Amino acid sequence: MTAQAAASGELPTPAQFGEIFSSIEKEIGKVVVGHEEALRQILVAFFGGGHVLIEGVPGIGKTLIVRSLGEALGLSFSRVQFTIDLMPADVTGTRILEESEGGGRTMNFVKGPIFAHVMLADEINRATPKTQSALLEAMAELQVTVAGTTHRLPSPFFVLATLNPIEMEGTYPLPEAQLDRFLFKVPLAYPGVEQIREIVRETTGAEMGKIQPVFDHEPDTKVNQLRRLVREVIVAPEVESYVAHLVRETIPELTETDRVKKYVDFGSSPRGAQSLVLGAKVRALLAGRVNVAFSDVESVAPVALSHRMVLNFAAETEGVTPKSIIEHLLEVGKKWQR
Amino acid sequence: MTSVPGPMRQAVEPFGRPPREHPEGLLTGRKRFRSLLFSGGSTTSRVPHRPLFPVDPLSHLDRVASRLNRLALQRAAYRTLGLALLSAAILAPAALWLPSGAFIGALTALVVLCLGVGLGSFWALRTRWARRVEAARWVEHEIDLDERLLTLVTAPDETHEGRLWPELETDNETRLDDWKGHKLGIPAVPSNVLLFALGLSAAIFALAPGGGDVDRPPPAPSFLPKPEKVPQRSGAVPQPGTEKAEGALSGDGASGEGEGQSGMAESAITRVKAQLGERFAKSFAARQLGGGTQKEESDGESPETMRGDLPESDLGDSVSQAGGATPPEGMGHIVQDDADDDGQTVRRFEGEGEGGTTGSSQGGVRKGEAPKQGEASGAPSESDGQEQNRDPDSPVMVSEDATETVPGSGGSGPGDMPGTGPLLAQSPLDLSGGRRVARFSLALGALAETEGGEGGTLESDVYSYIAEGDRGEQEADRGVRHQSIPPEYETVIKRVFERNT
Repeated sequence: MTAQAAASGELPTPAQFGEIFSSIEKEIGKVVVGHEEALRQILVAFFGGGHVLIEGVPGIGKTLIVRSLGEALGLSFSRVQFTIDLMPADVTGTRILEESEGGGRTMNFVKGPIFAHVMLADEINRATPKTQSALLEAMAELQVTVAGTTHRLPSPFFVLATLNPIEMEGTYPLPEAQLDRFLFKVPLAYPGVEQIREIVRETTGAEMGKIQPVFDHEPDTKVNQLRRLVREVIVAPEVESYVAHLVRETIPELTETDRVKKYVDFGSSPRGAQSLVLGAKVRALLAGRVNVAFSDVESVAPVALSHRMVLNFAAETEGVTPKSIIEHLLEVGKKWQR
Repeated sequence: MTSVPGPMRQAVEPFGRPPREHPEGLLTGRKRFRSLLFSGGSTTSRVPHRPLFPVDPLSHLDRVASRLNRLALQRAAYRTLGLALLSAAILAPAALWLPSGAFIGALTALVVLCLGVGLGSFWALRTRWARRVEAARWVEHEIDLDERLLTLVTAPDETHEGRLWPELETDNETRLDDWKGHKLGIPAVPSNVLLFALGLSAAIFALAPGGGDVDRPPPAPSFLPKPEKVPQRSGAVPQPGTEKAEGALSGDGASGEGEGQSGMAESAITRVKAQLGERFAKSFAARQLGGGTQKEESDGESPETMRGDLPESDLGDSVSQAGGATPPEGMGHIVQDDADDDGQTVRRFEGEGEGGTTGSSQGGVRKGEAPKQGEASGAPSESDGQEQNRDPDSPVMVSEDATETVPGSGGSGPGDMPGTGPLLAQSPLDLSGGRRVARFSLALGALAETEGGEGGTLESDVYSYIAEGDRGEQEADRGVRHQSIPPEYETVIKRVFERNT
């Protein structure tokens, strides 16, 4: 029996997937108050094999979510605070000269913080485009090349980048091509009164909630098995067609929707369709199904497409958001479902 | 990394952990639970729940598709047939009452409508014919199955080799109860069967014998007299020799009150035909007996001789009286009707011909009751003298050479006189009652051949039933001119027109 066959024979069932997912949510919920839907979307992107861009004001729990996720999964975790003077080598690693015991000197590669299963790129828009590009290249290719040597990143590799929507001065907004590499962009909203009270109670007491890893051994293997299970979910041609119509309708040159023509400068790329399907597959497994439904696509469309649409000045002045346009597209797109 | 506490480990440990870690083969309670729950973590090793009598969702879906198609077929058929029946129900009475042009227009419009609806229904049926995929879409639309069934039907073949395909099949089998049987709500009969029922009822009402207006007689041709005029003439036709006979056929407008129904008119016409046949036979017999004197007698024959209201005994008298009333030659016309002191209508007939005589005959028309129907008909008659005719309805008698004409109500020369008899171009009279049977009912005072052909021709006159409003404009002749000539009359017509030319 080959290794692949052996691995495939150990695939979890959809029911197991749901149970594990719930366990992770439960563990993270011990320390993260609120943000249930955002947390779910982050986990969906994680098991879908993508990366997540989290947008929220400071102090809202972005870093805590990412740290909790790493702890709950039992995966290695690293955090990089992006600043304007951060260099690519500070992220990817660099070669340093080391002296051996025999007196010889060799150039050895020292891995950077990117060599972790879960990486938090905090305030990624504060780094220079050069550093951002180094990170995003690693996200896409799951490898880093330093001094002619290619180093594979650990699998699973998951990047959680955060954006601070305020204090935009001295920042370098991510170009659209790099935003496109994130599977989801998840906004974090302000917590409610009750949630704030709970945050205060949980974080100011004598005992803090402690996260227990869901997997006690070989978590990376099990996560990869779960990811492979996601890829096995069946998608009907009708659902694929619906996704294609939905993505194509975000492009102002091709759309038939007046709202898109009026407010959108650039629409989604085909990566948006991939994001929709992958996220929908995870949603289907969470619903106990092995096939993707239209509702699964609809549930992930806002977070999968919003950062792929660039709105124009008219949209900004009129307060039109990408989310509202996507919701409008989902409404008019019912005709593509049948 | 810390270890997972008990319950959580139960949930996540089993898949991936090989059972060989327990060589003794004995599982603790917790591990036994895990084993039962996840069965080693293998998807393929998990035994899905299957019903006792498994039903294939796809075969059931095929049955749903056939039911949908049957319903669509019924819908199209009922729609088309219902419309066709309604059209037939509309066209049946329209055929009786609409003019031909309007009827053809209505017929064309309804036929086009029915064809359009039929073709549209056929096209819709063809384009919407439900196969398995369409049926799955319909079921998904009716019962929210989260595209399970649609995925099962439409997923490409390579997907069938996937690890999750058996899960999908099992899932659909489990969900089969949600869309089986009456839960889909496919009606056995479409709602537009009401249209078909409505059309069928209307068609039965309109087309069945005794229903609707089918039995109502069609309107009379324009050249026939108006229905209310007929019974005044023929409805009170008495037997010859009776007291009423004098006024009945003489055109008394006052008689026949309440007898304007067409049925009575037809029966009266039938009786007149019979009397005419009898009189023709008798007249023919008399002419045969008279031999060479036939010609002379006919020259002076009064219109009264041919009237059916005269008794047989009066026939000879009438002939002798009428002899002096017939203008032998020349043009003549009636200039006025007068009534004498005896209540007899006196008609002066002025003419420019030579040798014309003025005569009068006894008639049954009283003063003031004489219909005016005969006035115009006598105007263009050829006479050179003046004539007083007491009977405006007295028929025209045309001699064999068509030079002598006695004015009367129906009298008319061939082709140039108004007032053609209604029996023209209809079935020939079967005039029996003598040795020879005459077959002639031509209106224009033309000649008829006897069947045997021995006596040559038979002079005859025909009563004219000219409606009062039709006089003067010769409206009655319009229909005649467009009538086809039956073969029986062909030789007669040819002879008449040959003489005129």
